[in-house]
Amino acid sequence: MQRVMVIDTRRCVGCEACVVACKTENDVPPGAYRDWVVQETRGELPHLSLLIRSERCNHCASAPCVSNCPTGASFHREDGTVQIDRDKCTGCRACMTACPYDARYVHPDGFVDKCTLCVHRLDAGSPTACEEVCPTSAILTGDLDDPSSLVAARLRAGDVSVVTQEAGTEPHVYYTH
Amino acid sequence: MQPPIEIESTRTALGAAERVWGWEIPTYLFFGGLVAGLMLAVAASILLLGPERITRAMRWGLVAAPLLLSVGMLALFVDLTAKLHVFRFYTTFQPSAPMSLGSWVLLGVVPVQLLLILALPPEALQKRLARVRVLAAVQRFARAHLRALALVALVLAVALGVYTGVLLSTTVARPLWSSGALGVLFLASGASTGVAALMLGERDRAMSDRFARADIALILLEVLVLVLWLAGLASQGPAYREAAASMLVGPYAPVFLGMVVFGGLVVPAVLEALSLRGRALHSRAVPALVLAGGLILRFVIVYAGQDGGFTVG
Repeated sequence: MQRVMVIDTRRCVGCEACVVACKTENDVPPGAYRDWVVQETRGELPHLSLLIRSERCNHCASAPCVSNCPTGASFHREDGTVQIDRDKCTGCRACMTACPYDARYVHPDGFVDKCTLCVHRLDAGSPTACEEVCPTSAILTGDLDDPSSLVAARLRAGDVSVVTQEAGTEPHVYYTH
Repeated sequence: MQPPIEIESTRTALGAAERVWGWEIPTYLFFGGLVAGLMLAVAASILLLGPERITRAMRWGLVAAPLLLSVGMLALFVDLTAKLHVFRFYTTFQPSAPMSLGSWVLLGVVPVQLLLILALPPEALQKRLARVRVLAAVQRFARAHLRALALVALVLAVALGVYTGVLLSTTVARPLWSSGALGVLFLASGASTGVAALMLGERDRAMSDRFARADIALILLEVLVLVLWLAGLASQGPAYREAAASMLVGPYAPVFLGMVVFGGLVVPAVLEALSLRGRALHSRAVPALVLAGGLILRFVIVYAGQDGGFTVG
């Protein structure tokens, strides 16, 4: 199984409901975000285009946070997501300097924290908090290895990109355009 | 040409992100490199010149090594946000993580340092050591195996010196650090600061001359690797070019070019060359410049590296 997230940028309206839902679901401390919304405006008036993306940890296949973690606290779960074992984390922040997406933060309790792809919800058969609350159904999670899954269908149909491809980390959060 | 892009994010309101690594990491990298350099210099001298040529300053250098390393490791410990979990470094071995490799190297370095001190103690210390009977046996062992000990020290010192640079170069996210050259750069710089620390206390003229010659060679190596590092970055993509530019023409240029390259490398190398030709006295100011340059080099690289990245939003 390879859990992935596919976000349709044509559906996203930038309402930031995903940000609020995540904060509530995961009790994210003030000043920190597990997901956030980026708006890219291209061109000059009146010739403008707008691209909106809900971003988070990309659960990379080639994850520098995992390879640089000295204690094995950052690891790949069997479903392909990147997780943090709080008991093993020393707070050395090697993972934070290694992440091209700046997706991690130090929790006030000392350990490093980030998006878990809400695996506690996915394991229980519910969608992630951001997916559930998205009013335009732009966010979708699923199994990439299952060709009949909705995410696989979306990735087949659309023009697909990942954030900062040049970093070479093979992200598992995809954007369709 | 790409049209202009304006980016706004939920996180824009947070302002510029703070540096992930503050003063603790460059401080540790400096002391780690310095100790690697001290061990390299003394171990190489034992192997090349023989133990009888090890001077008083070098013996005190051996005594200082574990203390200086402790200062560096204390900085590392202060840096941890989950300090009670520090033991986790030693319940695992992560071959892909330089920080894990480094913490095991540190564990190997300390006993070798202690054995070297016992083998070649300064006179003042020898009198005290002689009173402890258990130590006398260990001392006999260390002296009997001094060459092997020096060889192990040499290997561990190289590992320690290289790892302080590799620690930075495996982090994918910082274009300035994305170069294997940093391992060699930090080893050369560490060796240079180690030799400089010994020069500070050296009274033997012949040994001072040897140190000066070694230091000139190390500084030349350092300059060469600096050029290779920045030229290598400049020949890659835009993020890497920008990172190299931040050192040469950007905000870090005055400190990097002025204090590290000119004040910490060029000036001391020229003064050392002059003193070898008898046209200047061996002055403690010269090694002091090398040490200051080595410290500032690490601060500049650790800070400038974190100011650059791929991240948008």
